[in-house]
Amino acid sequence: MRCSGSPRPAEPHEVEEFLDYLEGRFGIPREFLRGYSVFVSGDSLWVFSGDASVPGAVSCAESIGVRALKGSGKGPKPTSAFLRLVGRHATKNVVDLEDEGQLLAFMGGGIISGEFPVDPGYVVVRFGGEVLGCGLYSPRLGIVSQLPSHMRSSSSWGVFQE
Amino acid sequence: MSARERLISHLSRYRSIIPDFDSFIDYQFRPLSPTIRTNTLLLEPGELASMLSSRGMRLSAVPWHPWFFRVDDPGQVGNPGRTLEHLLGYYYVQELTSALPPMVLSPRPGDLVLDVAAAPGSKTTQMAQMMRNSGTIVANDVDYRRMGALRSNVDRLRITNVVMTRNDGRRIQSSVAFPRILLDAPCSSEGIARRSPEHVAKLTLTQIRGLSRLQMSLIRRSIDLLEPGGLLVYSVCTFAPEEAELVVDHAISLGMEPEEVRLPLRSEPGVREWVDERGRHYRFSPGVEMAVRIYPHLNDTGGMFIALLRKPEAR
Repeated sequence: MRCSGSPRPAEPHEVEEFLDYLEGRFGIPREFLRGYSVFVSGDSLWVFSGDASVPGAVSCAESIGVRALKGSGKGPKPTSAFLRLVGRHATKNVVDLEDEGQLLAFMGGGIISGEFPVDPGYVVVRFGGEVLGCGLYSPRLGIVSQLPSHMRSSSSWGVFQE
Repeated sequence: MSARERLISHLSRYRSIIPDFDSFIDYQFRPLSPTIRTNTLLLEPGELASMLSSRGMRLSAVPWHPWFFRVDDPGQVGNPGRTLEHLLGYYYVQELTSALPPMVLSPRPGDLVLDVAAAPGSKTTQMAQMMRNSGTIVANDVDYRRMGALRSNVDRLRITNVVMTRNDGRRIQSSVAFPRILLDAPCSSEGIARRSPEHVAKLTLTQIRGLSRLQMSLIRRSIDLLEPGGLLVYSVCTFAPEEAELVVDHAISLGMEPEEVRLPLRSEPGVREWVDERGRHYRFSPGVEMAVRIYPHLNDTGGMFIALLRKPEAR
């Protein structure tokens, strides 16, 4: 079996850029990374709370901890899984959903129309104080859910705050 | 022959080793209530219970494990995997017997663990909870599609101490030796008949023998990867001695030392001998009796076989 490219430890400047982005975009304090190590694989950055010497010691490591950011032509994109971990520390570009209709639209991978007091780009989406994941805001469209398909739900039942 | 008759006919090969065999068969046709495990990295079991009860789900506590609840009635959602709380990682739908191998391996915070056949991740995520997201779990699987399920479960439960590797378990390479290894091996899954009777009804003896050979190779590689003095849990959710005692007997012949498996529910010891349908007489070393067999009719669960083996210290 051939392995895909193995993740490598991030260089100090890559960690700095990562922390700069999180602080600049979301106001997440740099201290959040205490206890985590950062790895790079292709255009993705991963955060890992385990022993940083292990990933390089085993064959065919495909993922290490949680994928935090994916690079793209439009700049870094935070993953929903990562925002669920650290989004509670965010102080800006956070959208709190207001009702079950918005919640279901977001969890279903849909769009929440309207203008929100945030900068265009990726935002932390919350409901009832709980981080749901990543949204992409544009004043023209509103908030487009960035939840990957396995995190979505079409269920009309199960909201956790009524 | 109907599927029911095929199922009974297949399982009859174990009549001589399963106590109260008629009751064992009777339980194969009783539906099994789903059970859920609280994600204690995010909330307490009591909080989860009140949250789900307020949605109309009827739960009862599992007396021997505080993280688990039996779903007596899922309410209007119909399936306990279809709630927002599930999507947010507050709990994992996991059959009770599947929780036992991690309990036997008993990893602690800070440990280094290899999970040889990890997907879809019920045991990996349970161990991450036991380790409180510290230490390291190397979660390996061979199947690309199943790795996707593993990744999504690890993400969903907000677990950060897992390295996922994709290797054929017989050929994992590592420059570190592991103090604890879980080999929950691919198996014929006879123990899931209450959830999937069609699967068991279709099983062939050729499949069982092929799986037995695979399990022998997997346990040999696992022993190589274990550090001296380290612990290996071997488990299969099946009843076939070819996949259970025969594999453990092989590990014992390679020098592994069996240890007693202690569990908080009713079980039977591994069997010392058995005659298969072709008249082949299997005789196993006394150490296999330290392993346990979990039968559905003993605790109203699925089925499982679990052995605990220690690698001798280097001399």
